[in-house]
Amino acid sequence: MKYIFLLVGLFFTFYANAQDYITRNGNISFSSHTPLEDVNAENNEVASTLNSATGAFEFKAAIKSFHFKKTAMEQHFGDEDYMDAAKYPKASFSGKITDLSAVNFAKDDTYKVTVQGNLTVKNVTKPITTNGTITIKNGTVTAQSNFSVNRKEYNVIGEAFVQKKIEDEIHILVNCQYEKR
Amino acid sequence: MVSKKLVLSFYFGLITLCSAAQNVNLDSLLDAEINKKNKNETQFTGGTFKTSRIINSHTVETTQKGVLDLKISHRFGATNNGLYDLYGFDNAISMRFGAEYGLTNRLTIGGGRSSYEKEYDGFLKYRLLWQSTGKQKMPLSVTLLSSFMFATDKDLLKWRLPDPNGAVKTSDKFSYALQALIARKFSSNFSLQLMPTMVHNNIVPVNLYFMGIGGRLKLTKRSGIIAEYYYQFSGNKLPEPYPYPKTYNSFSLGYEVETGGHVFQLNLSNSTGITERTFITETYNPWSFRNLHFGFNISRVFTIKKPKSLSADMQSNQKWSLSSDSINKKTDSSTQYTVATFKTSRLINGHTVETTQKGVLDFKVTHRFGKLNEGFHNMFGLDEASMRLGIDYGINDRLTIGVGRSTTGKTVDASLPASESTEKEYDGFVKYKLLWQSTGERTMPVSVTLLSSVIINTLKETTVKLNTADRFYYAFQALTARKFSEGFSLQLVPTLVHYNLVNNAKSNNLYSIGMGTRFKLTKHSSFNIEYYYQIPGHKIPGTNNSLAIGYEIETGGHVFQLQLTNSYGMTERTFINETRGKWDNGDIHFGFNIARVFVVKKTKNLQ
Repeated sequence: MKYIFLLVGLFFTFYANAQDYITRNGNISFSSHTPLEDVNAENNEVASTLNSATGAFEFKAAIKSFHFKKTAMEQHFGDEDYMDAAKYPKASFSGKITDLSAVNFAKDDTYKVTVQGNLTVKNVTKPITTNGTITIKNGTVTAQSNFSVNRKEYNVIGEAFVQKKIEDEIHILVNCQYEKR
Repeated sequence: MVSKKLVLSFYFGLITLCSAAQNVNLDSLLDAEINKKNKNETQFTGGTFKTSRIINSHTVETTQKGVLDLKISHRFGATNNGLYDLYGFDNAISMRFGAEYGLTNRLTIGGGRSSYEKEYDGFLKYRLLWQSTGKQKMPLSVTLLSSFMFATDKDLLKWRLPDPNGAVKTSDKFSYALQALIARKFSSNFSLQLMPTMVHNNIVPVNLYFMGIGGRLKLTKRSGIIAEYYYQFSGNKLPEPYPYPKTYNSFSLGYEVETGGHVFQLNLSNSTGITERTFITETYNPWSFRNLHFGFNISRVFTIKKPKSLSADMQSNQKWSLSSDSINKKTDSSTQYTVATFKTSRLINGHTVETTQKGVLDFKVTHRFGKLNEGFHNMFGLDEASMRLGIDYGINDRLTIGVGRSTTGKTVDASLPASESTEKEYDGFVKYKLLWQSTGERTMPVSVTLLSSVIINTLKETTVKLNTADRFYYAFQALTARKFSEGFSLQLVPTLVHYNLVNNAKSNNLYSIGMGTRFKLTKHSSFNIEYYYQIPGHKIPGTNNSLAIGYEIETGGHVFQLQLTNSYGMTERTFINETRGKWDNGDIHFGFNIARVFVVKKTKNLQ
């Protein structure tokens, strides 16, 4: 009898562990385009986990790891009236794939999914829903998504004179490649 | 035999432990990754100073590759002249206009021209060591500066020769400065710099050595206090028989604001020069409250070569408009009031129909330089300037009040009557927009603004003794304008200028009619023309009609106007009725206007 319990217990532990995917070098970039100015930034050091059993997605990105070609833009990005990196050094997302059953983690293919969760930027948390794709290939999972957020909802304002140079809707591109933990 | 309960709880514990292990602490994971990266990469310290100058001296900062940094510096007369000279404002003792370009991120080349001794300067600056943390640690930044100065004012150089009647050789006009700028950014709030310096003037057979020290203390996220001091090593004494006056150590204190691609500095110094030779080695006054010179520096960066990626520099040319047509459309439900007939409240010399928006302060700086026909030696008139400083304030959208103070500079022709010589004028006005061009339910084809202004001449020494009443002049205008299209506006200005003291004219009241137009060139620039025709019989003999042509750019809250005009004055009385210059003779003055709006009271419609 106890051996059944042992087997069942072991079965559960292996099952639970094997479904975790993680990345330490996820890529998130954002952009804004106006006739006056183009803003582009990239972060290649995003930490993220994906639980293939529950569909839970977690992302954490350091504000200082967003790199711009121009150091001046990068320096201003961390300023109080933009991201206030000194007070809020990270941005995060916590959510899940709503239609997890659409994805078969064992089969190499590209699956369309919907992700729903809370985005926290500059200490403001708002729910977002976005479409994306999950690509399974040779045991690695690539998650991609393309969505926009209104920066003003997160208090990312900037000085008065730049308002016409930065869109309100910031386009965010997520491209993370996960490996089994 | 172990109890079943124990085994069960053990396994459930194991399961929860394993599932708990799934909740990776992303925070600590991210922190660990970043720490690892910081150790493996070098982070170079940026922003030790906000710009490449402390006040007069260079800082370790070099200009970013492909970026052009424009510099304007002014040093005014000594504050001890008191209110009459507006604490030195009337005598702009030296002005320097310069530019520096980043050949690479470490190598900057630059140059400029100062009006003081008509000096040209050029320099090369190389950032040898760059303060950094991470993989490669460097505690300091070290930048080497090598500059030369070429003074072209022979008369001023002559007295420095052992024989003042001797000839000044070309080589005598050169000076060189070598500096090692050593700085450390201690924190985002504080930076300190040491400047061991060597200056060599060809006209003097001695090398002069100094130790400079400077620093910056942050006040708010965009402003700070800056200071610099140069200590002259004793034993640096110039040998006899050189007739040099005693020189003092240069000390300057300043307040710096960074905004919109500009770095503005306001400063006080006992030095009047702006190049290494002049401010370090030729400061003739000690630091005392009687001998201070107020000055300002403006730096503005422009990106010449865009970096390879798509993102453009935030400090590059700003074309954002505070009063853009699409934002400021005033509407009641069905009437659209025309906005931006003109971009600002002045066309070139004269007013436009535009009034200042409610709660907005419009700051005006106007310069008129000397005449172009003064030739190259006087830099085509740039060395002398008349200036007006003024403020307009919108009480409501239709009613504007304003004040200003002008000083017209040296007179070129001493035989001219007092009105064209050095003047210190105060002016004040009230402007009311009676009719506002509109379409829709209520249509109005034109805008009409009434202007009433008073001008007071406060100059003490005049050729003719003046009573107080004699110093007052009044101007009344009915500015009528129509915005025909986005690209074209036209204005007519019937004007009356009243002189309390009749000046060679037949009557106290002089009537004229002004005409102005604006042709839009690009979204934020235009070409403007302004002409005032004095009605025959209402003209002071010897004066001409004022004609001005200008180019106007609107960017980042400023309206910049560059213009050529035969008028030297900037108030209605002086430019309309007392213009002595003639375009045919080349009596053309180059000038500029800067208008900058500040929102004092936020209102609902304001952007």
